Amino acid sequence: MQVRVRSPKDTAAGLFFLIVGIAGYWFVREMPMGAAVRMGPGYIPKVLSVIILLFGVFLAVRSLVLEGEPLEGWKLKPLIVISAAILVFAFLIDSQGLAIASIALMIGSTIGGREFFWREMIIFTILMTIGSAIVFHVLLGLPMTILPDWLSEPLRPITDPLLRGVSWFFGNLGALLKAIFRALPFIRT
Amino acid sequence: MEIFSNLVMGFGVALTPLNLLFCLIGCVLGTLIGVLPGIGPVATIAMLLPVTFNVPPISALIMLAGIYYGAQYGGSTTAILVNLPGESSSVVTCIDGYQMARQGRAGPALAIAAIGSFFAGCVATVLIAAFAPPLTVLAQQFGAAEYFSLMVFGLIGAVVLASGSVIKAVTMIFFGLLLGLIGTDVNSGAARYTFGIPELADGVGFVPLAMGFFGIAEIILNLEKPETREILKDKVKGLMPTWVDLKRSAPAILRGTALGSLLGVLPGGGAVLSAFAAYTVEKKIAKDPSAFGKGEIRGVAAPESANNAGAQTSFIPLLTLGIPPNAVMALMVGAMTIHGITPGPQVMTSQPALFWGMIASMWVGNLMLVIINLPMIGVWVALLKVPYRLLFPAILLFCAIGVYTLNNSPFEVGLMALFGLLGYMLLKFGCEPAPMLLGFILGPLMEENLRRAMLLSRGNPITFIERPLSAALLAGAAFLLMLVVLPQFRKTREEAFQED
Repeated sequence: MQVRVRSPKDTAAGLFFLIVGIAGYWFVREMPMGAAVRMGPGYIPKVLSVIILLFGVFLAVRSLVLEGEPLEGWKLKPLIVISAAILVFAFLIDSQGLAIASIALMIGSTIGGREFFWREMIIFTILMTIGSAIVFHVLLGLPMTILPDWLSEPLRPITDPLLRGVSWFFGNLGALLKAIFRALPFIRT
Repeated sequence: MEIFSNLVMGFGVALTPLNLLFCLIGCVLGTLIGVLPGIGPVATIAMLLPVTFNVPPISALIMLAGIYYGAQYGGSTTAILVNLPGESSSVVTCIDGYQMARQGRAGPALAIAAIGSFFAGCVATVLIAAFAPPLTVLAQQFGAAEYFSLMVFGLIGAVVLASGSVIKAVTMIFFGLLLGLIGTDVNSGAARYTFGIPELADGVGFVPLAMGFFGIAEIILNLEKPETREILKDKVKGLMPTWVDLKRSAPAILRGTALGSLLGVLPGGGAVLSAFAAYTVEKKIAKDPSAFGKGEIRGVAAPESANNAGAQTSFIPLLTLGIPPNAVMALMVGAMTIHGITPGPQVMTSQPALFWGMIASMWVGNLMLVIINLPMIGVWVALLKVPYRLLFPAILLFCAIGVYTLNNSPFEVGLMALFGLLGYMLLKFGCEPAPMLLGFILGPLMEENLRRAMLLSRGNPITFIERPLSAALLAGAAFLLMLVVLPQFRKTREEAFQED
């Protein structure tokens, strides 16, 4: 009988788990197993790795016998561009702050999509950046840098009135909501 | 009746303005992500975890719960109007719901979906209130051996009842267990799989893991497919179903609710399985199965009731045993841990306000959802017009900010990207991520209980069979495994997940 791959999806999965099993064992190879009563740190990882390895072998071998689904093609553009955009965000967030990191992520990921329009992308990026800075930093009070030092000074004439406006709006919104709740006598406080 | 006094206390908690507000936020958000295809409750709850830091634990949990069952309401809207599942639990609703919409009966379809969901939600709330206390009493007798056996039972159940290949699901569980080992070993202090990276010493966070697998990987996969979204042009008019509609769907709603409530409790169950099973059952017992697929209202009523019932009753194992039966509940464990609550039987006795408040909030939330969904249907239809090219960068941004703010750690954002790549690859290989997340969450708990049980029994594995409760659970697990091997059951299982 001629050996050929009948179920490529399972072959790929099997090989993947085979590698995971081998790597999982390799990295804890020097840790003591211990006995079942007092398991050493190596006991469970080694057992799990071997199980994964065996399942991987089983999947791979079975894929030579059982007919199955073909592998779907990979589209590399969204995969690479989106992952890269997130990594750039991670790289920028601490040193350059949320604003720059989120602009990078928004523009990067939009380009990774199926289609984009420059004008729409720029407007939406600006809106989302300002919006998320307001929601996460101003409203939810999560600690993070928004603008790097070299930008916060020159941008002060824009950011200051914006912040004042936001805090005024939400300051009064709170009062308004409180008034509504007080007016509803059936709600217990 | 103690249950009533408990529920009264629960409503006292759920009806405070703050908790009402958070319940509303949760329900609106849930509907929103339910309506929008391409983002599910797992990614959303993971995204919102850091936000709940500054909120009292009860309000946080009320909101997060609202997202899960709210998504079940929202998912039907997209299924009926656009023929796309807004949620994976609404896949079967597309079949008859969209046909009804094409016949100009979108209104009644939406109304029946909401009415069925509401009825199921009410029943499920009562069920949780009724069954949680006795189960909690039982759970208090659990020792390490019982907990270990229970988790084995849960994981095996998750595999048997999940869709797709059983072997891949099992392997994914073990993969999740292995990922859960990353970090410092509690007992020996040895660093396992840390590769000398200090950030990994505390282990991999489950938020970057969940978001990578459920958020990022989904988005990348979605971007490969061409966007096909055709919204029904006609305005939705005449929401009220006719008397005949109501009479036809009432038994279907009852059956769907019963089935969903049952399947929700089972490990690996929850909303998705419930909806599939309910549709299959309706089709099986119908006098004229040929009507299904052509706009049969029972094909909307049953799965929509079932998915909401299942979503809610899946809280039972979490609240009573501390064991998450599905991926969403695994995230709820994380949410509780963030607030210093260890899920388990002690929650009900030590924090009764939290426990009963959450249950009462589910009923309140269901009531809100009917209002959010029916009269305001136009808003959600308008929202469907937001193209995916705008939606996905926004989701990515929220994911990135969400992960970052959890520990202010850029490393975890990078980790999320890595898990996104891994998740994409595994999805391409036909491996579902949900069992892996369960394994990841349960792994450390299982290791701890296994070690403790072995220590108590001086290394004798007989202990798992000697103790009656543990033996019963293991027997249940073995029974479930047997089912998979039986060809008869395999056929039924495949049929249950068939879409038409």
